[in-house]
Amino acid sequence: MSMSGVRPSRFLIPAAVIAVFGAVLATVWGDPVPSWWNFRIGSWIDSVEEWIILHRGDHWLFRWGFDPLSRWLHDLVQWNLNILNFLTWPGVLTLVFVVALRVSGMRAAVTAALAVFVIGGLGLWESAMVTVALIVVSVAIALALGVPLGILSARRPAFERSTRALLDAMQVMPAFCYLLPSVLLFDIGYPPAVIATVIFALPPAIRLTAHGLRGVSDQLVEVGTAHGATARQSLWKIEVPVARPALLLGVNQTINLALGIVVIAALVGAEGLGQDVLVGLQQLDVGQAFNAGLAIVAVAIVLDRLTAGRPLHAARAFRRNRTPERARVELIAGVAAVGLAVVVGKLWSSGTFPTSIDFSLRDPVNSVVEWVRDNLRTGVPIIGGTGSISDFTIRHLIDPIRDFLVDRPWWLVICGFTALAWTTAGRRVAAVCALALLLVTGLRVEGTDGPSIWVDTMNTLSQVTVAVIISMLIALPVGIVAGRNERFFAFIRPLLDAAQVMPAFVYLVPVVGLFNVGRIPGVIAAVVYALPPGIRLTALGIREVPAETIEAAQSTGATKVQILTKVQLPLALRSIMLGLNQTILMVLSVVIIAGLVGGGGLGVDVVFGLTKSELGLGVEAGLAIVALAVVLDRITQGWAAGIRGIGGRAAPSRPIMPGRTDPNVQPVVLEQLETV
Amino acid sequence: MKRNQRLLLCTVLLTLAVAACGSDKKEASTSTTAVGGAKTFSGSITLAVNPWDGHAANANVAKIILEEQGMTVKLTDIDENAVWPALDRGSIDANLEVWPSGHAKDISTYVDTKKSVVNGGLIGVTGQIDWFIPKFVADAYPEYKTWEGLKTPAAARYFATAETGDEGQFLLGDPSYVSYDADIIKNLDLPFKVVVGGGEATLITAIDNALKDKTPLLFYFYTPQWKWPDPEFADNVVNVELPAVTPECTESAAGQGKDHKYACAYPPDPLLKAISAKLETKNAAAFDFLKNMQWTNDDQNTVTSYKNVDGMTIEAAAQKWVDDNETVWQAWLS
Repeated sequence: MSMSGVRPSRFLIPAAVIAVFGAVLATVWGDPVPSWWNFRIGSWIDSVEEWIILHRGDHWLFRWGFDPLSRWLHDLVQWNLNILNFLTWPGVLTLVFVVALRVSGMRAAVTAALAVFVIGGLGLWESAMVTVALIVVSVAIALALGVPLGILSARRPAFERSTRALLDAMQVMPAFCYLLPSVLLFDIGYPPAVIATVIFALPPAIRLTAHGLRGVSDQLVEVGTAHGATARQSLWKIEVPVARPALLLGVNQTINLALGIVVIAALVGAEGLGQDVLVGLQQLDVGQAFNAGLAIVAVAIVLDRLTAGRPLHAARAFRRNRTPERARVELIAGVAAVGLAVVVGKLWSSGTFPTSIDFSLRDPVNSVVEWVRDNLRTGVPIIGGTGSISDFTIRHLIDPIRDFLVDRPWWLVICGFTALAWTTAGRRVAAVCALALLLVTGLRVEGTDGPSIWVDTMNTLSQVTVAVIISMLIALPVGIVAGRNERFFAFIRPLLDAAQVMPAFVYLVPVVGLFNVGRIPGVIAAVVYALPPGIRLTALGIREVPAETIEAAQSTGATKVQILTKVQLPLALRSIMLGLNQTILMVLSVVIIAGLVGGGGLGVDVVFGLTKSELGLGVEAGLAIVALAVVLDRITQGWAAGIRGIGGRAAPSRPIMPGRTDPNVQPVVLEQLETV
Repeated sequence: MKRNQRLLLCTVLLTLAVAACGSDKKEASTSTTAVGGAKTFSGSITLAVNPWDGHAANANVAKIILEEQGMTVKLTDIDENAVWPALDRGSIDANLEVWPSGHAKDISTYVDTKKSVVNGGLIGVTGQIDWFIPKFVADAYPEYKTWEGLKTPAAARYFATAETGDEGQFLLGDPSYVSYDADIIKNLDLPFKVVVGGGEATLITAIDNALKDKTPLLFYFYTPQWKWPDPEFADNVVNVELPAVTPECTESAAGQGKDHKYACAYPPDPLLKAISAKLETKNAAAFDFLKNMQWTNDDQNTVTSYKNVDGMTIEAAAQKWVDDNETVWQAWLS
């Protein structure tokens, strides 16, 4: 943390304010949290729920609002599904290949086609088609809402500021929390699944659109206006093309997040691959769950390749060689190919994937899991086995942190966070943090009259801390290697995508088998889920260091290690800090999963609340998770913004999501300007 | 450019129109009941399947019998909590296994107050929750077979894990299942702490680990459950005796244990069927059949063991039971 020119007197005012604040909390509220400090959010939500249940049959809100919307969503998904089934599997394969070829090039097309084939070979074609239909509809709606809102967000900072907390909540609030209410409002099956997915996947769509548009240089826009461009022309012909990498990244992230909900959607009667994962999990059939998880990853690959677009130089070459006649020929050829494939599909196997082609991985995976469990759990020389690692980590890492947080008076912990926020991110963020944490103390566990949710929050915080530490300890070295070695990065990139998309449920049962029921499996799930952004942003930071700077260092005789530690890492620090920020958010979004494997804390409160139809309790726990996210996000963001990165540019106001980067897009704009 | 765009648009629209006129079956669901004679079954209904084998057994057997009579039956996989709003609306017609101890609030809301869901009577299967320990623990320390034996500091140390520190661990599975364990532990002064496993899969994994590695485990379990037909499991776990059910405990259970006074063994849980009220008018024959349907724990366990021990699919297992037990289910049709 570089803060040059720090004078001791700078700390006087903040210290005094925080001390007074702490004194007020300690005297007025006291320790433990008094029973009158209770927002009764739970009981309010419960009464809303009761009202909905009683009036669902006859109220106009449902008759003219939610019911038609529900039917429309169901029809939309069913319509998509009918098309996919009509096309038959050769038809779908050909369609994917043709579209990917047109949008993203040959290599992407081949990958996508292979992935389609794998889905069929795993024996999950019908389920996969349902999942694809659901995802397509959800992502289309999320983008149709998200892109305009992102444009609005980019143009009006006030709008962006006011929606920031809401978007945080939408991303971090466990999908569990709005799933059951969705069923109350929208019936079972496709509609609540679509709604939950849209809510979860909307934030990246909005944020990345806004981020991309804000990144467009003002000078470019001025050039356009100087040529007589209207505001609309400026938007579509200058800003959107320049923002294209960020927009495409937004589409990619929207799809990935949407696929993350697939398993939860199965709980409300939506068919598809999520159902297969759950059935496998329930029977402890890890192989079957893994099969379905792999199919989900394959779907992610297909959708990603269909929307990725070409790298810049290839795109320009493509556009240059394209005449209208050629375009028309391609179109007809494509349609004909798909038509032919459909006919072949209908004649050959009446549309279903041939069962003779079956490389289901169920049995091999189950054998591997058995072997690992039998051989790695105990009796491993020196370390003793996974069981002992688990106990060691709990006793010496997680428990001390938890005891430290829980034993301190709650107002002291709040003051500590406020002080941390003030020094790293400033007054305003400190106020937000203090307020958020104070709000948490007013939430209740076990219904409206139970004890404060504070203890569970501290419990969860201790697990989050350990997960983040472990995650960053792995992400930093791997990211550094990936940043310096392009081939290694290309190798691990599909693994990173898979880690983000593979449902945690798939590997949780074997992890529980290895590491004991308790907090460790949840920590592991969190680490796996949070590694991709940590690794990617570290690699991005390292790669962003200009070659000239490294050459300059080399010419002064620096060794490789010195270049790494004294040049690359300091300059990459801003990206690494953003990686930390994203790691924290990802870990928080997995808190529920931790609750399903013995982690306790807020995760189990949410699960308990929602499954016992105590909607209010579940929502209160969800709000506590959101508050934690707000606090940790603001602190680490402020920390990142304060660090001088390359060129000393101010950090973007929203975290960058990792993925494709396209550093040099100016020439695209100049071409477009000619058509203005 | 324009011509290409139009061509593309026409092709796409044509294809979509052809494809979309596809299968979205929403059949009418009616039936007639011939006066004073055999019922005629027709139309279609939807049954819920919650994610456990016993439930699937009930639903598949009902499906096979009704389809033999000429109906169409659709099975929908759905969570046991999300099913209630669906029953309320009539999107799902019946849920054939409800554990009343875990759904007191839903029953009170939908069956008693709103009356949109009907109590279809007992399915005939009785659920029983209990505390268990591995057999090797019972053999080595017979005192742990009763709750008094668990009161000692030695017991706490024996059952302790990294999660519980000095106290013994009591492992719970799914937090949505009825659980008085925290109250039982507190009221009986046992030096134990409840660890919430989070889900049934987690619980079973932990049990398997304990049995394989011969580590101590005190846990919550219940019947019916698909593990029981497997002798490797059934022969290696032993019941822990809790105090007999007293009137105070019964009263506490009636209030879902909210008074925190429960300190006895779990009472048996006679499982119910929940049927959507709309089904009575929509398809009376099916409604009556489902109300009449009743079998035993043994019947249900037979079907699930065909699946889990003999490796059949649940549909084949249900078919086998139906083939072998015509005398039993004929009575449901009348």
